[in-house]
Amino acid sequence: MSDRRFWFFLAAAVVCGLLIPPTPPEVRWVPKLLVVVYAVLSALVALETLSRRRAVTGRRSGPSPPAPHRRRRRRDG
Amino acid sequence: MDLGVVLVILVALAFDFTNGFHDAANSIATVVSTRVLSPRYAVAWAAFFNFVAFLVFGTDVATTIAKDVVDPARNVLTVGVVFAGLVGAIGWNLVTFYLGLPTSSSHALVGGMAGAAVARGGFGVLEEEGLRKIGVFIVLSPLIGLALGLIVILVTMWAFHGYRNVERLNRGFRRGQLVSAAAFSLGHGGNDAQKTMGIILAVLIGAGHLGADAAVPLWVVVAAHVAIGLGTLSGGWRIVKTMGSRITRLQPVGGFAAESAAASTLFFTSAAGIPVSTTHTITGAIVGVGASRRLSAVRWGVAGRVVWAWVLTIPGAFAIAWVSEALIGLVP
Repeated sequence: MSDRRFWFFLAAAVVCGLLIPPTPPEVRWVPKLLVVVYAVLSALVALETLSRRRAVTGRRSGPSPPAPHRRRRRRDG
Repeated sequence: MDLGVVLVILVALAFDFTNGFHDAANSIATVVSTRVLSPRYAVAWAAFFNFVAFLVFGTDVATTIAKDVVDPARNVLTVGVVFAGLVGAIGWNLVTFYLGLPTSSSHALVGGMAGAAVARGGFGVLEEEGLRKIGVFIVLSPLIGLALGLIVILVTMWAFHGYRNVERLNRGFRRGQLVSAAAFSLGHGGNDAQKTMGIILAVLIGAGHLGADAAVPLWVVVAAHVAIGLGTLSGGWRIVKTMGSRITRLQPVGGFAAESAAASTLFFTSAAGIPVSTTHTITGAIVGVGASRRLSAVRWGVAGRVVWAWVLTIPGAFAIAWVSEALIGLVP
């Protein structure tokens, strides 16, 4: 994945996941919620990167654009 | 009240004053860097909301500091131990100020209290549950700020993406920043002043002026908020190094999003009685706003130094406080 945000958000999700067991039970929902949020963010970045890559590939493999119309020089005389 | 108790209370209030002085930059940096307010008016704005925070928040964070770091039933929190803890916290703040590390006064205070108490009574005097809660939220609070910062900026961008009058929009967010900066100052006053209240409560319990299950007296609440408010008012503007432009360049909408996210994090943690670093929370929120564009928009060197401050603060303050308590113990 070329967008570093994917790895960053994924790492944040893993860190929050590792913090679930030592968190006191009354606030354990906080790291759990953060795992979900960061996992969704990394998935969104991955989807964005894939769709952007597909758009670039589609543009390259599509029909070649028409040659630019050249104006002929008028020759007088 | 004997002289030792009065001295420790004065040192704790001085620590609170320096906290306001030092952390005012976090509250007003984005307001100043986006030229919503001049530095002088910005500190007055922040100081006012630092002070009135006592009307909004309870004293759960103070109770955590006073009773959940060191077991009050072990009777180790004497005047000397609390003083050594404060020396550890202040000493660590001075060392990191010299080294240019973005320190957390809150974590220094927790590390200092723990170090001094361990020097007096061994590791058995520490409250494992309370320290675990504080330790986990050292890491979680910037991550909450980061996630909220990112979500707030994305939602705001999405809500206003069709709005063509950019000039008017910017003007709107500049005004919005007044509210978000006020909310952040309120959260800062609420969370950080309570740490000082916790220290004063601990020394009053330790000296026998209050029972082990006593609540924070009103005069302690007011004194702590006055100290942090005066600290913000008297010096904050001199050390504004614009957190906004140091970590990532912020527009008014970004400043609004970062402050709103950090304020929400501080409101939640204060209500849950968890002492967190306001510096780390706003740093996380600013990184979140910067990451909405691309990660290279974030100056990772500054963010990395925050991580070093996470790792080093509690052991550093612990060590200084441990040595201080050992030296105080040598005095006959």
